[in-house]
Amino acid sequence: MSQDEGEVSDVILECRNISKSFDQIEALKDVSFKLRRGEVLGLEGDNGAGKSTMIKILRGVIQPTSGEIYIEGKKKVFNSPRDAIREGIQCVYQEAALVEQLSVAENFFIGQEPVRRYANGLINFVDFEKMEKDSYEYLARMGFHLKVTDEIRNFSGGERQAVAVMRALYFKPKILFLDEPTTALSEKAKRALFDLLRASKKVCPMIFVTHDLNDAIELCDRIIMLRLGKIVFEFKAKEGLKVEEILRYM
Amino acid sequence: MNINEIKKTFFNVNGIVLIVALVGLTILFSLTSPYFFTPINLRVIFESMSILAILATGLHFLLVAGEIDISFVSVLELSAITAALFTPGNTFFIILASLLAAVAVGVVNGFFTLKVGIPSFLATLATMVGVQGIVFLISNYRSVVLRNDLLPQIFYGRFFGNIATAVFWMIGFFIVAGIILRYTKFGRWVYATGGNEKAARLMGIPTKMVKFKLFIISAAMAGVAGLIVASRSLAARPGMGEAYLMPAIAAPILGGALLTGGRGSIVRTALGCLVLTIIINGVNLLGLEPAHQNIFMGVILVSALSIRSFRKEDKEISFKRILKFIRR
Repeated sequence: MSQDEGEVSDVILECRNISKSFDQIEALKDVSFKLRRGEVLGLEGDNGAGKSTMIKILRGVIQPTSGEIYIEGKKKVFNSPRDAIREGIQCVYQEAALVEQLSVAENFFIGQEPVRRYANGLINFVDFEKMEKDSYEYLARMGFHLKVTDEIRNFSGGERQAVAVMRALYFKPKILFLDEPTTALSEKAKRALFDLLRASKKVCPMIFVTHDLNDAIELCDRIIMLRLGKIVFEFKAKEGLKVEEILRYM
Repeated sequence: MNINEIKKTFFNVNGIVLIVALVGLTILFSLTSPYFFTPINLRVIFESMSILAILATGLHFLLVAGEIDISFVSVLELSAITAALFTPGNTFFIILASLLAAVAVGVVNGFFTLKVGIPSFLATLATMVGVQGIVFLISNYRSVVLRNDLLPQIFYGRFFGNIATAVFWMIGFFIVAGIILRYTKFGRWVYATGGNEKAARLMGIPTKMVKFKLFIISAAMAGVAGLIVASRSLAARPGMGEAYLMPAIAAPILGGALLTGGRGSIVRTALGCLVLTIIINGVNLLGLEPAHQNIFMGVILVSALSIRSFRKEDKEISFKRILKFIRR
């Protein structure tokens, strides 16, 4: 196998020359990067750097003005989050994307509810038993023993974020995007989350968006720094770059 | 329904207000009219309730999703007039034509609300007025007689214990709506869309498609209600749906549905319909002017909404808390 072939098969996601404009404002300018199997890629930058715009494009919430997205070497166009979910892309959003009036179990499976089929699949009813059992077990793995039949509005910020993270991992995604997932977590919950993400990265490469450089260096293998919609710097987290050096590029 | 669901449905502010209103009104009208609590009158109440209930069920779906459709008044009339104009003819064809006319209005409502972006209240207000105009034109401002024998039998025939089929249609729609909303993916998506549309969309729920289908369901239900109204009076005329405007919106709201979406119980909507129908029936039995119906309905609605806003949260209420509240 040549080096090129090796690299191609190693790359699970490639963004080529992605640009996005909102009227006169250019939120992303010609951004290109690759995500490899088994790695956690960090996306760093100040507010307005274009990190969230990039995630929204990759998730199909908005469409790029120009540029292309390749998943496992095949060009993809995501017109909606549903398209991205079908390709095995899951995302944990900064605002957690939860519905207050629904239970923990329902939020865990929102949009992807398991069903029980009757009459040769003509009638499908939501399988609440499976939803409650699986969501409880998955959350317990991260140390959250929640009453999953209660409405999610009754839980703390950390518990809600745990639901958002664990539901993304539950569906065994091909790629996972994490948009500021530690915002509402306690230090203990953050440690548990990082352990879980490290353990999961072999089967599920990730893009981790965060403001916290220490978090990024601790979790990510490679970090891309965005500024005003452009990539200004890329480095491997384990190469021992000091925070002060990184800050120069911000 | 398991015990938890029964508790969730009835032991909250909305459930308790409805039960208190139902019991209170039943006692009041039983004491004031000897004809109220009789088997014949109970049958009359359920038959009168059927049209309101079918309209309210269609509207209930939309309210849970955070939208509203007030064009159902005109859609009911359009459906009824269409049926009357096509008679005598093939009954199946008449039903199909009426429902297609109704669904067409639902499609228009969905298009202007979801594609053009007009708030549903305004979009459906416009279609209500527009369709009303169409109804006047196609009916030539007059009543049109329903000249078909089978159609009234299907929608208002009396086969079982002298009870009109409309009652069975109503029960059927309640059961189907309850099952859809509680046990199907689509039903859960309706609640998710109304609860937090942005989150629902981000999690892959096609929220616009969900709402579009609901506009069609609401219009189709109004279409069925139109066929029942026409079958009951054996005629259709412009303006025959106007009386349902306020109660059909009030019933789901009395049942706990929010105009902002995400909440609502079909069982409580059914109770809301029953309470409002009892008011109409009781006032009629007492020989009071129809204006009294409006006063009663207004008082019940504003009381329910006041108690709800006072309580703010729609959580379950324990018996202890109820007793504490009464003692206080």
